[in-house]
Amino acid sequence: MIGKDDKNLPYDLENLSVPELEALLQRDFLASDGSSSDVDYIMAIVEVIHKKEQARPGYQPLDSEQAWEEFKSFYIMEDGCANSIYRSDEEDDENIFPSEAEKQTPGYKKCKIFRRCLLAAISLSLLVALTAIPVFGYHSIVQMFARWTAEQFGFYMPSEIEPDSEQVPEEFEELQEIMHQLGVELIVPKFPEGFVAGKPMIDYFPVNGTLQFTMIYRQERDYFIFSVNRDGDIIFNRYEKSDSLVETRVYSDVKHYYLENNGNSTVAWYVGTIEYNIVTNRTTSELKEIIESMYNE
Amino acid sequence: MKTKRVQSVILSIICIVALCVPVHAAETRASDQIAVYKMKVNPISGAMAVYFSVTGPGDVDKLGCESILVYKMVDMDWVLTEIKLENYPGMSNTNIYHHANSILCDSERGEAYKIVVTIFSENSKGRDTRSQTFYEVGQ
Repeated sequence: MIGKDDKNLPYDLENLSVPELEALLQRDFLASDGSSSDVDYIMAIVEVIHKKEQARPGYQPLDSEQAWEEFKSFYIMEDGCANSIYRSDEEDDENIFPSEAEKQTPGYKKCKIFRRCLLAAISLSLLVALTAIPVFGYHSIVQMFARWTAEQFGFYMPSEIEPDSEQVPEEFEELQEIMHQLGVELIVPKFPEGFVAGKPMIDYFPVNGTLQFTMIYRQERDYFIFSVNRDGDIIFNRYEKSDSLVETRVYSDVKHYYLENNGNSTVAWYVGTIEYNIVTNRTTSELKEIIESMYNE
Repeated sequence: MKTKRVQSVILSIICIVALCVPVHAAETRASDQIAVYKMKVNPISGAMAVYFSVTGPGDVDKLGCESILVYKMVDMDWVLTEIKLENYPGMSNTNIYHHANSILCDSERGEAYKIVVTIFSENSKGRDTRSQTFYEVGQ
């Protein structure tokens, strides 16, 4: 095969080694200086290089598929990103953190202000919610609905159940008559032997829609104060109580509440539209006996 | 980064304050003088009917309604217009275990009123009171 030297003179390419032939190719490219290369000359050199590589021992033909895979792994895959000679799309989208110019835009400022306001509102709501519960005297958020605090007890919703009627003692006759006029049955507990009934106090205030009956049973320094209350506005009594829990018992589907108040015991219950309570300086167990006997007869 | 740190500090302070308030506010208040009580106000024609009821733990020295303060809204401000104290007829009773009554206070139709009612009970251990505030419109 005949090639050419720097003075365009042909010379024998067969006697050159592969690296020398590759150097010739490189020199020709540089010498062309941007003008079109001598295609015949280049093809001649390439043919000689190919021929010499085929003649080499251990020569294996080029696997184009394998070459393509290697190219991809080297340039395109993640490991090969650093080798890429092209800018990636990720580099173009590199503005994850806004630039200083973008931070000055009205839209960005609005978003920032909104987030700060939202955070402040959430914090304030949390603070109010946490502090409102104890300030209003509740132990928990559940108590805000049950109206049951460490200091006071009161009914929230009346029950609809009315008990069976029974014959009432003489001291309750006037009350029973009023209750009949109101269309309500009267429940009367029986107090222990030895306790003497005092004069009943009946207060009926039509302007306020309230009926209040109160009577005390005394035995020396001990007492039971029995009260019956009907309020047309469904406003209930408030019962002072100590820290101890309110105990509940159900008799004839009516829930009764037992509470303590600095050495005194109280039981309260609600039937229909009537609120009952008994206050005593005797024990809660005695109160329970009185209530249970009231329903067992 | 600095903003996040400031926000974290603010939230921490809020949490600390929120935790401190329940400890301070949860005080036992049971009464040695009052067992059961009720207060309510019903507007009627030309008056406010103030109802109260107090039951003591047995017989006490004196119990009933300590005061009824009636305020009227004038130029966005509450102006005291009527006071009734415990010695007013029907407000209290002595050596008794229970007292209830309905006291009438003057009012004008269409005017807004704030009524502060305070009940009390007094025995050898001392005196205790409870107050409630009601807002009504005169009829």
